[in-house]
Amino acid sequence: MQFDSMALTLILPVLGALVTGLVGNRWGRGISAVVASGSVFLSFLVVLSNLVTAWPAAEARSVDLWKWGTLTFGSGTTDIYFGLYIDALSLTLMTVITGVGFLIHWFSTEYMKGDSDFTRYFCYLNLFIAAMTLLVLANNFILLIIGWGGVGFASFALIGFWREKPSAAEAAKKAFVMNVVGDIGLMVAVFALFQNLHALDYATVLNDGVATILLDNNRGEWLPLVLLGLLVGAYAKSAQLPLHTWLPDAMEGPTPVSALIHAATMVTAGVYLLVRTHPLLELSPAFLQLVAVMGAVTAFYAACCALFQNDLKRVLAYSTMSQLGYMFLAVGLGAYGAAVFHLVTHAFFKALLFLAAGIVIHAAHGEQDMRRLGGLAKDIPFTAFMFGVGGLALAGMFPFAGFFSKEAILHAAHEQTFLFGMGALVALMTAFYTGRAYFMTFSGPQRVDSPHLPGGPTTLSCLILTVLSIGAGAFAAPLSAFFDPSHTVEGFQIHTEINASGIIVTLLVAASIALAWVMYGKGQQDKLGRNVTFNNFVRTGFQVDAAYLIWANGFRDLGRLCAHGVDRLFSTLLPGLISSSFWGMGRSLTETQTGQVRHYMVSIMLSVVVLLFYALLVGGGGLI
Amino acid sequence: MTVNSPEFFLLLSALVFAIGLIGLIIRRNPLVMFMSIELMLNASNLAFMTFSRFTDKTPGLQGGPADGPVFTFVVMTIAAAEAVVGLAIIITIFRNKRTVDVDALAELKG
Repeated sequence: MQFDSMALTLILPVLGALVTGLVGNRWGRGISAVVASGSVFLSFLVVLSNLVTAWPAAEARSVDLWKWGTLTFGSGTTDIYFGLYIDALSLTLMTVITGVGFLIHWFSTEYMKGDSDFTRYFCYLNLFIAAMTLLVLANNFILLIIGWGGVGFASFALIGFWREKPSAAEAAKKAFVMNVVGDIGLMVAVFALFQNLHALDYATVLNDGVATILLDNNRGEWLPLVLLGLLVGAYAKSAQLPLHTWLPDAMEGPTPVSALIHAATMVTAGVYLLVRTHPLLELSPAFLQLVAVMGAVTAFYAACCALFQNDLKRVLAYSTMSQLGYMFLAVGLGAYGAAVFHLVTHAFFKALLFLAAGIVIHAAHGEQDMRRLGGLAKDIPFTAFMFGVGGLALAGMFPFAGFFSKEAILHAAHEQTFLFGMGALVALMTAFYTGRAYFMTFSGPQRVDSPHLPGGPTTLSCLILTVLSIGAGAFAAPLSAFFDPSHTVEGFQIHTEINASGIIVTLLVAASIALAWVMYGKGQQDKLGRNVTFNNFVRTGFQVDAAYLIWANGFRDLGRLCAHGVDRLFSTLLPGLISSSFWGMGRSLTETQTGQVRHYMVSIMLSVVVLLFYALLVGGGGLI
Repeated sequence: MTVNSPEFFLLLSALVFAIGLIGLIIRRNPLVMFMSIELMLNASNLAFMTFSRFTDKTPGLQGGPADGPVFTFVVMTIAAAEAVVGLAIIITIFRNKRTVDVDALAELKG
């Protein structure tokens, strides 16, 4: 039983959620907003103080707050503690979660002002921060699962925040179902781990020596089960092929939610999981290669889809998927430092892009279709500037943050031509679709009447993210040292030199942006959309949804067959048959009751005769 | 078969019983049906008495066993009681329905 100041980061958002959820409506919107944002800001300060204390190198520590219970499963038994694991990885992620989380809370206080359900929104948002904190700080797999499910629920609640909108409710359901697929994968992995290692705390399981038990020949089938379970969990949470379909639909939620959950934090949980469990992944080089290839494929797939989107937020959603693909590519290549670094810079510039998109959507009175936007640079020039910075960072332009993190990943891939080629190609596509989104929205003829102008909190929170998107590239070297002060673990070193391939990629990125300017700079018609069938096919994500629907409809039809066929057989037809047979028997027997005394008399007489004969013949006269 | 033999009395009893039974079945007047029932009861009484009369004497006692006469008295008592109750019912039915034809009194059925 110990206490650690990092526990405050868990307690504060929980308190915030309780206050806003229970008494928020009575205390008023102002206080709710202050409580919600303040609790996240305070926990950010706690994280920051821990970060400063740990700097420049974090000693990993596992703090058991209290014993929760004993777990028995199969032949194994272990004590489960409610405990925190604090090391470079969790501190880095916590800084991003609470820092970006606070900025988005602050942004929301203005952005959601007009919403009638203001306090419910902040309650969910704090709940999300609490669940995410638990996910990142957990020191064993059981707590991890709880946090994992918690962020899934918060995501569900916030996607469906505007519950009166049928499309939002549908999207929330879809996200929940897809996430539960991942939850089950994670649980299978954790059970399999426990079955073999009889322990679930990180300190034991991720110890190199212990995990190698899984390499035993006798346990040959367990290792793939663990790894695939982890992968399914990570893929569902991080919207990777083929479990990605929920993320584009998740854009039905309020825009700050998309910024916080579906860009900066929750969707990166999969990357966190794989980086956290990297000693397990390294047991199977083939598996790491699979992660790398799938990451590259997802990045390419999502970039293709992003090229054809007309909805501003969906462009950003697909680009998030694509960037997460980069992170998985880095994990697969063993470049965990680069993956985390890209996670951090991506959190900054993608949150910025989403928040700026939120300002755009407000300015255009709810219009998200880029074909009906345009010329907004003249109406909201500062937002256009900030979106531009975010876009350049996303495109990987020197010297913005994205350049350094993407460069680190490409450097890690330089030995494998296919992966490097995919990475570079996706970088060009990213630059093109980002430029397309920027020019369609901000240049060309003005199409929005009397735009709504952003106020103080939204602009300021975006401004901080803008500064971070420009400067976060400088974090590479300190982050590298923070993770691995003695430079002994290769995976956590972040490559910081700029070499020829980086310069070439930057030039090509600039060319892509220029091409986007030529094609969209003056508000031209979308030339990519000429072939309507092809355009629709790609825009709907290669009809993966339709493929899932075939599968899902199969189950639905089976369910219907059970409900209307089998169930009816057992609940209506068979009981009906039994009851009607008794009914019919009764009906036919009533025919014998004529009411005529003489009939009864005759039947009595005949019965007596029959009984007498029976007694005389069969009974051998014994009766007499 | 002599007159003073159990076979004679038992056949007589069966004959009377059969007459009563047939009368009960084919007649529709409840009063006649009552008479038929009396015939059947008395046929059984005759059988009781026959068995009593022709059973071997118990040593030290005069006459046959007392079971037969006892049963006969019980049957006669029941017959009397039954006639009283039955006639009362018939009179009540007649007051209500203005008929005592048993074929018309066929409402009690399934």
